[in-house]
Amino acid sequence: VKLISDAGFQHEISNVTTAAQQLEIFSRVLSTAVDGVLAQHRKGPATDSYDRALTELVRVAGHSEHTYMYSQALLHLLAHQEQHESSAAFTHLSQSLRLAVRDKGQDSTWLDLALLRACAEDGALKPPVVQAMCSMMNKMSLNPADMTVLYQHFTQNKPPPVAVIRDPLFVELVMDALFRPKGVKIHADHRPKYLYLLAYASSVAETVRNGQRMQSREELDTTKDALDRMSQLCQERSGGEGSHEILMELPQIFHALKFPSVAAGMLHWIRCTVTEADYFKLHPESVPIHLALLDEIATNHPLLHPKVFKLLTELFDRETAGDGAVGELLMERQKTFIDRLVHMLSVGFALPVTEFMARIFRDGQADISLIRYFATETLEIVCPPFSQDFVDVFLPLVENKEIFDENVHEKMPAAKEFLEQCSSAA
Amino acid sequence: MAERPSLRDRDLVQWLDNKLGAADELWSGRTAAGLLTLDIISELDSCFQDLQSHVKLRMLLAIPHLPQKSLDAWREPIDNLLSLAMQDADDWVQTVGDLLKEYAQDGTVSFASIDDASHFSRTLVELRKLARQHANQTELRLLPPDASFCSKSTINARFGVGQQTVQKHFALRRRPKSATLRADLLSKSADVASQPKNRVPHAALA
Repeated sequence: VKLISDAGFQHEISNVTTAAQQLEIFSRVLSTAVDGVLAQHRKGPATDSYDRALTELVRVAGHSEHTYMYSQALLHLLAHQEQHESSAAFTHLSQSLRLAVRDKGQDSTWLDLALLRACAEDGALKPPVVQAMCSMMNKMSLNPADMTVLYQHFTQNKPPPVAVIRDPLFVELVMDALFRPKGVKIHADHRPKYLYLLAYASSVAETVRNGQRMQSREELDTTKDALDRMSQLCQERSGGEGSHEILMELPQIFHALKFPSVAAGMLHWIRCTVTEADYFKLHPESVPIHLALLDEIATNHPLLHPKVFKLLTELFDRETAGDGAVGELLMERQKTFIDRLVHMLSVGFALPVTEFMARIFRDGQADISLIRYFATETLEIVCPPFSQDFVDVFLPLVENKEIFDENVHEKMPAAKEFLEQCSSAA
Repeated sequence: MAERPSLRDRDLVQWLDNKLGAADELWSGRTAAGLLTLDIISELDSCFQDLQSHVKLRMLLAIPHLPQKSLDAWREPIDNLLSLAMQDADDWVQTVGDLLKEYAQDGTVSFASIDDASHFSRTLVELRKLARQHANQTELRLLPPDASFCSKSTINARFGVGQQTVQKHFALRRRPKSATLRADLLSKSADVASQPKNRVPHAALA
């Protein structure tokens, strides 16, 4: 293995267990895996090639507790030392890795906090804050006593680094507490603290000037108010109830959805609502209002695209797997999902959406007419210049004789134009 | 938990190798923390080097999983154990020892003992170089998962960029059906709101 590694063939070393035994070899395999993700970043999260590269990084770095610690120490330090895009990329890798090992049941909160402490000024992170976070994250459950500790520290003049509570796993728990329909209601005495911490995590900008950490809390109150209003609205509208009221309050909801934290919270509420077993029975309308809200979230927040996409594809797969609906009804419902996916494609999430449709076509997971519907709807809205990445994944669908017959040129000018563009560019 | 026998030297090494030696137990810091006693940590002072490397690593990674009161009470033997690790012949054991050097004292990962010729430092340089290469070739535009719920100004304060730039794959000839749906819903919403019986807005929005 050392010889293969010395010769520069890190990608040939497929057995992580073997590579992980020697630090030198592991370090090279890790660099190769990081390089793989950075090379695929252009296509972006949720595309096949990006997901494969990230899975490989998780496989390598998450192999065991010491490989994980070593990898996270490197990524944290780089995120801290680098600036701008590089810092963002390393933070992305570090957090994605943490989320992935958490999915495998490993809690690494202690390490994140220890690394945060290593990169912050002395005394920035007090033991009670660390203990409160570790105790909640270890159980993956919030409790009022620990939340009160955090609230007290984050309302002080010299609060801990915001990164402590900007932890995506912690925020997920707070959002669940505030936005889950029919959830256990937080006691009225504590609810403001939950709202404050979520608003703080999402809206307080922290900068370091001359070694001094400074916070800008300008957006804190407006964010907290919007979260408060929408959390109440969501928790009172559970399951199939309240479409009428949601419709009535739509302009205010659209306004509040401009806040990323509100959008993320409402997305959680929508997920809980639409994945309930009887949701589509209670909402026979062609586009249930919750699904329409997904469009608005996708329009406003490109960074939430992977989560919206995941929900839509899960719904699509679930319906295909046979969830009670039959024949025409099923087709109509799937067309509604495809309309949402085409919307996502129109606002920047083109590659994952098209790859998904190509995959379900390839796997025979959906009726051909649905694939044709997707391709037609897409052709109707797109025009040149086309990126090569898009052509690579979309052209095979348009050219496929099972999807479009040979006369598609005459029947559909948009298809003709697309094919001509592709052939002239080739 | 059953009381552990007072094991010495070879017996302790044997016992730990049995308890923590399983090849498939790769995340066992928490389990190992459950085994540790003051007696064991103190005894390891004389026989740490006799453990297999992966068992040494598991002992070291048990430290962060110890309760705070144990960390405080066992500071000296823990520090001794880490000093031994930092001089170990195995690169992994040495590096993990370096990183955890100050954990018992400060709850921090420490980079102070990492020297420039170490694999850690060399990998740091290599990864930095890789990121710069990619940033030069194509615009790096990855933002972390936490940015998805953060306001633009917080992202800007951290990374000097306001929002993830979306790569354009085509121009839009026209907007998709969703645009009509949105307009319809807003107009329906206005209709509903204009009906007198509906004029009182929901309390949450008042």
